[in-house]
Amino acid sequence: MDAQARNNRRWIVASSVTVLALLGIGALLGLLIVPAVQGREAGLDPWTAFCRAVGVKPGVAPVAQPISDAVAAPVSEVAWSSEVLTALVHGDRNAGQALAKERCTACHGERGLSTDTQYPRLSGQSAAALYKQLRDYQTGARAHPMMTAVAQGLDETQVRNLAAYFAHGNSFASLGHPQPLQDYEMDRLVNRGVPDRGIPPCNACHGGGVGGPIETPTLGGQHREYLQRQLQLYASGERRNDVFGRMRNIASRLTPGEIKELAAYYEGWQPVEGELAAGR
Amino acid sequence: MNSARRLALANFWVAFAAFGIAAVLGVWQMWARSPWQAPLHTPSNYFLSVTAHGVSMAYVLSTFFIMGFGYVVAETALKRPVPGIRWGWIAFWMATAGVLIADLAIFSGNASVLYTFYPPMTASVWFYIGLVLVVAGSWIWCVQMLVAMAQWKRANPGQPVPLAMFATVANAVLWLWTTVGVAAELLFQIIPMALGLVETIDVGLSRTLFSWTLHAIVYFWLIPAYIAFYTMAPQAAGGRLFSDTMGRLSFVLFLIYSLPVGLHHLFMDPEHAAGFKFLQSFLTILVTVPTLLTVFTISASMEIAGRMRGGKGWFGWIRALPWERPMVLATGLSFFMLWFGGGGGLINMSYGMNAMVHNTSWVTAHFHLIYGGTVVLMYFAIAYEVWPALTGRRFASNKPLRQQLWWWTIGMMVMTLPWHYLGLEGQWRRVAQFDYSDPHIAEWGPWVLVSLAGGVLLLLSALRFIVNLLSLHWRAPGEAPPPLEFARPAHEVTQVPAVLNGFSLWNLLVLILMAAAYGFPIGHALVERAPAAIVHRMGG
Repeated sequence: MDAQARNNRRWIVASSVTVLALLGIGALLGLLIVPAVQGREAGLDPWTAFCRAVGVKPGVAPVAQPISDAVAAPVSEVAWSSEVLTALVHGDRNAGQALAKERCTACHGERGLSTDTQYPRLSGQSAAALYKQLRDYQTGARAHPMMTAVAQGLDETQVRNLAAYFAHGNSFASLGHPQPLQDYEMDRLVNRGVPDRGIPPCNACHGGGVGGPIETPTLGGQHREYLQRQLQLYASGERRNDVFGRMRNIASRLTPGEIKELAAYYEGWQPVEGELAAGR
Repeated sequence: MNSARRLALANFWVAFAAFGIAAVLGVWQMWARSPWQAPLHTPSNYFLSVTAHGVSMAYVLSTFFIMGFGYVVAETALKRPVPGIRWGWIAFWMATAGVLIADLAIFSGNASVLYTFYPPMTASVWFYIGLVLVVAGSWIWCVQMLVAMAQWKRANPGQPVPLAMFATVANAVLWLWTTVGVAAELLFQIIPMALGLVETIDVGLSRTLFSWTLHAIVYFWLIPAYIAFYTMAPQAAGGRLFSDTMGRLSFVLFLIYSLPVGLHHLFMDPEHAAGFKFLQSFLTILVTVPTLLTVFTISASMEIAGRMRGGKGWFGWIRALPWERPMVLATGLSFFMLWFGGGGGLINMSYGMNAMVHNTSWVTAHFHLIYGGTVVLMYFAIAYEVWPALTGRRFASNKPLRQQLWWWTIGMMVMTLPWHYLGLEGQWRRVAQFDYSDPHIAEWGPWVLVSLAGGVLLLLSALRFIVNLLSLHWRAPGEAPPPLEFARPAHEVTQVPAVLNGFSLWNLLVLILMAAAYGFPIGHALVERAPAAIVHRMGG
């Protein structure tokens, strides 16, 4: 064998031995020594530690989680059970109408079309929206100097009847339809949302016929003073009957100027010609 | 211009066109993540842009550049015609068509899956077909490089293959090994998923297969930079390469230790046990060896050059180097960034520290600094070195070239250092925008703006680079440029050990290492079926 061939063989042997030895050291450390040493601390026998290091035995045995006895305090006690939903559909509208004349129209106007801008218009709202607010006033989830007392004077059937009456489609038309927006920033707020400020589009829930929780009120045609006041109350956290704090989150991210503009925008939704009259 | 040079130029220009577009997108992405409102900014546009930026930079720029450079090296170093030029053109057009197909899928909004292959998110099948064409094209190039070396060895029995070519073939071999993982993932998992043939997918297995490719691919991108360090920088500095053997060893070590280490990208994944994560982490440490060998050898080579130019004392040789030459300047700047990027890499591969930076901006900053900084800067320098030979024209002045390299380095440092810091602060990666009105993260805003400033400088540098290259095409041909030559070793090499003149032993060792490192993790996933994730298809 000449010198060149000997040299070649030396290289082959040396590099193979080095690479395989390093592989062996890595495997020895990772699969045997480190698991065995660390396993001793954890009270594992070397075989179990090895099996866990390779991955044929699960690392952590399932541990039952302690059961919490903490009681959640819901922001609203309204639950959309099938019983409530059915009752709202079958509520007695005539009884509701009679009761409304007695307890509601002085402030909220004939057919829920209030003229005093501090009182919301009820026309066009869904039964679920109205029911949720009345029940929240009853339980104290929402508070108002007058409405708390009025709501607490009603029983469950009366609340359902009132909700059914104001929400009845044949009597009350929607107050308005979405209007196009010229202002880019407003259009973003209303229709597309501002994700970098964590603000979803208002119309995702409040636009006509779209998603959102069942109790979401319609905003079109509502008094701007009322809307502005509610957004301010949500922003300050004074009003807190929104489930998951949705509206508190959103309102607290709006500037006072945006709140004002949004309120004005929703008040400006126009009913289709003759729609209000048709309900008479 | 001969056909190999035309082929190299075609590959280079596809690479740099993609690079130019991706640079614009990159700045927009940093802008979108900053407190300033970026135009057209929606989350879907952001993820579309990240996909296009990542695919262009990581797959198009790198692959086409490496192919182009390979043709130049094969012709210049071996001093023979490149074999299979016709196949080279087939590879080029295949890969170019692949890029166009993938880009159409991306820009039509049907492939916003980022540039990684992480199901259950699925792009349109065209996205994957496009990328498969790019890879298949590059495989043809690999075969050409292997054939070129084999033909040369047959014609020069017993002679050492020139280092530049040995390294290029090491890279071709590495690439063939590297692409096996992602090819298996695409063929058996992702393409059936994109075609709607399966409804669920084992994401643990697909992440494992992708990890096979994911780390080694970085060394595929990196090796041209190292080829330039070993064979072009000492030449440009007017010196000699300190050790030819050290170069061969480094490239061989890159080949064997960049592959069985991908699990260090899955430290936080639940589908693998600690033992194999440890083993691959241990093997990852060995990747630092060729890097340190290179730093030593190139510093020594530069010292030879500096002293030949009259440099005295401990550090006088540094000042004596011809820094006005782009290749020398780029090597210095690239080494400077390598310290930061390499240091960050050591942190990433350490299990405990990785847990802290996992999925934060730290990771994004790290790979921008090491690939975008150290490596791409050397791509520029290589382009400046080969362009005169390819076009037959000389640069009128090196000043615009140097300026461009400086802008890139400063831009990359200004962009990535705050980015690293934000990662340590917990800033998430792969997020389309931040709510800076949230007091928890409000203080990030100014740092992102600093990064954005760095990004703008990078864009200016990218445009300057393209203009610099174009200017050469537009110039009237004057005095012919000197021929392209690679650095000669300090001691002339007449014979090298057979193992450092070929790859059969190393292929065998890679096979053993891969079987040890990946055999059980992949086999285990195949034997014991994991709970599968439901496929989420893009574009409806």
